[in-house]
Amino acid sequence: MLRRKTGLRGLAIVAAALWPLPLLGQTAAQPQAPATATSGSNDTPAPPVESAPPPSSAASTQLPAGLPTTRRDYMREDNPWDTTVPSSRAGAGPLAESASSVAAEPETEVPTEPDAPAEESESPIRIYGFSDMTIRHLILPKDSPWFTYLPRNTTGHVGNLNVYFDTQMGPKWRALSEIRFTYLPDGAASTAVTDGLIERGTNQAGDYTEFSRATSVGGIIIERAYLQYMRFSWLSIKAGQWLTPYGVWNVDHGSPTVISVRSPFIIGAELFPRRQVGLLAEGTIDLGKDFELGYALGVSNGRTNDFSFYEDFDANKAVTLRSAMTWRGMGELTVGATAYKGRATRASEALYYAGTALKSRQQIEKQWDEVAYAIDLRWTWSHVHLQTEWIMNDRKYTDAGRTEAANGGLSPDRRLWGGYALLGYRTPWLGTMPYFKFEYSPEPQTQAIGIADKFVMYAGGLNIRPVPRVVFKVEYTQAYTPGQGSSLFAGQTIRGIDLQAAWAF
Amino acid sequence: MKTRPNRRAGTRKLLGGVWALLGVVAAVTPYGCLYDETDRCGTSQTYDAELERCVCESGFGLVDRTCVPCREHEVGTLSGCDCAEGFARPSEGAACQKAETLGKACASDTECKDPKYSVCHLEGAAGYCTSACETSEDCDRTLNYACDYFGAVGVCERPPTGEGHACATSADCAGFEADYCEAFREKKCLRQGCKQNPSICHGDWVCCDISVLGTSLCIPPDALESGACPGGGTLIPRGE
Repeated sequence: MLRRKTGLRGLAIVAAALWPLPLLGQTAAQPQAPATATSGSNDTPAPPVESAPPPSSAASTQLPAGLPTTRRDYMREDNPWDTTVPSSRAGAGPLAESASSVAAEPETEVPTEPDAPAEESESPIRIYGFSDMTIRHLILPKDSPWFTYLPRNTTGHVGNLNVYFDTQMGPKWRALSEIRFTYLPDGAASTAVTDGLIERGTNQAGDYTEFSRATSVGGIIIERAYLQYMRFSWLSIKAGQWLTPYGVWNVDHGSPTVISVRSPFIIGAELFPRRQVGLLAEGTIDLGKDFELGYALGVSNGRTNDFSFYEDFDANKAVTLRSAMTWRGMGELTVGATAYKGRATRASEALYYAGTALKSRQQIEKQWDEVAYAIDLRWTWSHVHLQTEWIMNDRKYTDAGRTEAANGGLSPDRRLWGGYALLGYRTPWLGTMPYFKFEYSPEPQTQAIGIADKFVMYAGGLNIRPVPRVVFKVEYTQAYTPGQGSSLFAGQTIRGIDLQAAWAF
Repeated sequence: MKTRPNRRAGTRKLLGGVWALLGVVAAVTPYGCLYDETDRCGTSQTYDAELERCVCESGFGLVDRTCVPCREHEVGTLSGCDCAEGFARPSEGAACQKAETLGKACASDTECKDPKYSVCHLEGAAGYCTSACETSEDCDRTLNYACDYFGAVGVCERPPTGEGHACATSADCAGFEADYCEAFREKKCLRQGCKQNPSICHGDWVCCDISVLGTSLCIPPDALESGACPGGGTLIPRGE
């Protein structure tokens, strides 16, 4: 009976949280799934085994009543490979109290919230992150048009250098920022094929400390920056910029965590916005020994990339909603569903006179309403890892915001959908995981210039983890674009081999 | 025996979870779908499935990403509203009128009453009223007239129909005299097939045989690059 009541209470809470959605939905927003139950890969490079934290049961007994007793994925999502208890416990550094392998054993219980009084639960800023280096070799005819987008010669590059700044400011308060350092925009290729010439830009400046020699300057990308208040296990509120909590790998995006060399195309296609700025409520509800319900509800400005990170050009707020169920009866099985509704607007302002009075008006450059739905499944059982995400996005332009089409005329309303599935098996030999991945994905960027509509990709490889924080990957990929004429980009099958080293620090 | 109650409890939990998920689905349902496969375009627009785009309905022209109704004697294009055959604008932006002056159909100079356009320029049996010229600067540039000074007397020639219209593929230029879409640079309709008869290029336009495109095109003289055809093309001299 007790468990039954818990389950009904959980349902009631979720229902109460969702009740206002239809009203909010009129304005557009996207909910984010609680990373808790849905995000987080078991293949996250885990911290050193030697520094495993105390048994969960022991840890949980130290927690004040009302605080969660299990490690929540929404914490792990923030730093999946770092299993440090985010509190002042023993004043440990990032490695000192790392769980042996949250990645390999997600059911490991680790407290995720402060377990000490406020003055003791404050922590100095913790800095950690991840990086990766990839060597790519493409097997294509030397005159393939794909070389306008892909490296012509075997090339090595540092792809990600992401650093986290994490502070526990009180028993229930936390601030997290994730910054990606990048070489961009220096040397970036133009993305528009207008006259058959793909030029590369430069971002150089005279270095006044070096005889004003020209020096290439990169940039940063703010992945997320938010303040988090963790009141209960079933209610945590983030304010700031957060990663949209849909599926598995949008939030859990660290290269040591992602099993394959790169994230699936469907993630990069941004059928859901990658990041949003606003408020996000999330949490988990324990439905019994083996069941857990996670949810997320977010209200934001809407899309950021290619629009604005710091201004909403329409009055419509985006709503994101996610729910996920986790069952730990046989390994860990998580099934999640996410929905997003919002309006995307890019606009400029113009001054004009009405008689002698100076006025202003908004000029819409592009604008559309959209809804997106996603389902995801992740099952880890023994050494088997199965993961899949499928996403659909409907876009309907407003009359003022319909954009010019690549083929002349105007862009039509559209429905895009796609997904991927990955199956792997972690062997005991150096933590090696052979895996196979299938992807079917639209590619909005190539669609916009009319050269390819969808991609079908097969990839197989090895994910080798000699030590918990270092991952090597070897992957062969074959991709083609169905339904296109052979004279276009799409007619050319892409084959390539990637070698990658990814590490967490 | 002990396992049965446990199983029942597990089943209850599972059902509770399923109901919770169903609750979420029910809450999400009002989001619905925005995409209507039968209605993918905006007001006064139709869907062009072949090129996957929206174009204006008949009688509407595309202006600033909006389909606006064309006025009398106008036809809609991707560049707005043009005058219908046999009609012309007396000045830029003016309403299309039956060509009584420039462009008026004629068989001899006597039919061209307007002293400004007193020359009847014959193309075969048909002709149109226009003016004499020495350079294209003497011609009505707003309507893309250009001076054909290769003859004994220079005359302002009208452009081929469709010339300069915005296009993405040659399908957008179909039915016009300028029926080739130059889709790489200007994305405009041009007249093709001048290699055998360069004089079909109006005014002082020149003929370039551009083998990479597999055709010859009439292009304005200012499109030549240091006197040479773009794209490695060959300049075809006029026979006159």
